[in-house]
Amino acid sequence: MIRQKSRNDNAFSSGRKILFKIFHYVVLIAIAAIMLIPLIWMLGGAFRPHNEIYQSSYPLSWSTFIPQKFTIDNFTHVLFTRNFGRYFLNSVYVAVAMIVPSWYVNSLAAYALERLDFFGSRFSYGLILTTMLVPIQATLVPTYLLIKQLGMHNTLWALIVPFISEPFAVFLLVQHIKDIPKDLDDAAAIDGCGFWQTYWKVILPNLKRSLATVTLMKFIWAWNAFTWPLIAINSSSKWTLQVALATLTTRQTTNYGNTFAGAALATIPPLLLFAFAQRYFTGSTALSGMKT
Amino acid sequence: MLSRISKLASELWQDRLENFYGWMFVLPALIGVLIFRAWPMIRAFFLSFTSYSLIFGDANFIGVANYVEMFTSSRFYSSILVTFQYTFMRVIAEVLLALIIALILRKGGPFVKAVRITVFLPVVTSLVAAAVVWKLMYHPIFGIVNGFLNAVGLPTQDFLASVTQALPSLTATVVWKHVGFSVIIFLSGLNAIPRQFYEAAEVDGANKVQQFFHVTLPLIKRTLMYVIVITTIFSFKVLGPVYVMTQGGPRGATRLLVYNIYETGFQAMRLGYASTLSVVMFLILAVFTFFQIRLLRSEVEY
Repeated sequence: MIRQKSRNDNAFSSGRKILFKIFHYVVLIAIAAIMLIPLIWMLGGAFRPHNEIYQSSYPLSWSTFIPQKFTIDNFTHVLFTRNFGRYFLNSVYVAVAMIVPSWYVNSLAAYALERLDFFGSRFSYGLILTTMLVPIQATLVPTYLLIKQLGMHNTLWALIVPFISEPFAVFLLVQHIKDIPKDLDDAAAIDGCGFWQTYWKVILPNLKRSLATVTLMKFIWAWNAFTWPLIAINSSSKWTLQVALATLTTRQTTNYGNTFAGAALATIPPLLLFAFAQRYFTGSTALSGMKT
Repeated sequence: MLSRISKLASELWQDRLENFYGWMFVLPALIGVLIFRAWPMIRAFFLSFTSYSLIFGDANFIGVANYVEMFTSSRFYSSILVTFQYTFMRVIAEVLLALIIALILRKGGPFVKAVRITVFLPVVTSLVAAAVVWKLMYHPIFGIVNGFLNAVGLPTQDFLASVTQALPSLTATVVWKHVGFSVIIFLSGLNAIPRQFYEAAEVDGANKVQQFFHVTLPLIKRTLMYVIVITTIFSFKVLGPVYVMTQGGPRGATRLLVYNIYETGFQAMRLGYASTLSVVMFLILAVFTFFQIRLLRSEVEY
């Protein structure tokens, strides 16, 4: 049974206190272990030949997780023979092409909605936010038809264009702009800046922190996206990493080493990004609860 | 007199300029959002009344025939049932675990911080990669889950191949992946409780358990409800694990509504009927999303 560790509880003898402390640490380690073991197995398996994985899987021991014969053959096979290098690049391309324009599109809209007083601004903002309600899983079919009609079907653009404008990003940026003092706007106006100039010189530079958060979240979302890329793309040369991994694994999973290498490729970049940029996560995810 | 007129004129001009720029700036985002989110949803409603099939290429208006078919289809009802079973299991498991873990991870300290990171790691991994790894983990012979079970003396299980175990296994994978997200939300909710409440309770002679039930629990009620609602919403959206691990089987035991939509629309190519299913899914989700928005608003104010 898991209980909250007691702190300054004087009713307990010090022996009991130590017991609680040990119990606490055991529980912490157990949690970390459960979270990490699948990832460790995957990582270990990616670097070993697949018959070694089979042989060491039963009975369970340290050797199940630690490679005896370290090899990168799985990676070379998967990257070159199985074309995962191509898919990796596709994923990178889609993510970057989606993110860079989104900086400007969303922040421009946020600036206009928050700072500019124009007819219908509140209505537009409401409209933009309301579209957050639409679950993409319910619009797979019509969006697919739309993509076909726009001629984007089976191109990487289909994965990029629909996601450049992002209501949640607009929301976040509007909140951030609220914190930028209006005096800066006025100072820029005095210096002769029009709205466009004010945007570039005053607003955009001050939004960097929010844009960084948005970029991180969007990158991870774009990198991990599966359902839409699965549907929008037909030719295997345009697969993104996730689609490739899913499709190739469903067909045949005889070589665990290769599968693990593919999975590692598919999951390492977001992990690395997370490791280096944690502090951006804990704040905003609590407020969002949006895409996963 | 003239100067007043010219001042008025320049103000009017300023207003018009602001209007113009306002619209120009907001247009790219607005158009993008209207074309790719609002319009498809509207179109789905219309499509649901047609027999659009990509194989046969025609889109005839067939009235409510799709809806009739859906309401008399056992596959539809079974996918709804499966979805609710899955959602029920997942929400309970994830919310309870997340709350417990958040309570354990509440205090600081470097070790706790490290564990917090490990709890959030699976959230960032790709759902597909997680599904792939867990699929192998569930393997009856070579999977390490059975390895662990055998090591403590329990018999080997079929997991994904068993009609009764497939859905819970799928649920376990998704909970593993996503619990960190809920933990973070609970942590921020827990941290919002001011220390004084606990100190006051302690002065009144409450022990730790009583403090939990009388201070903590009431004050995180909103957070709790919020986590329940968003986890429910997320449950309706997961396609990846089903596609990778079970493809709806065995014998439809894991055919979630969203997978049914995928199968109907993109394997059988019946876009009209798939739209009907999508409309149903949207309506169900709309109810929950409504609650989510209400909770989000009140939470921010709180």
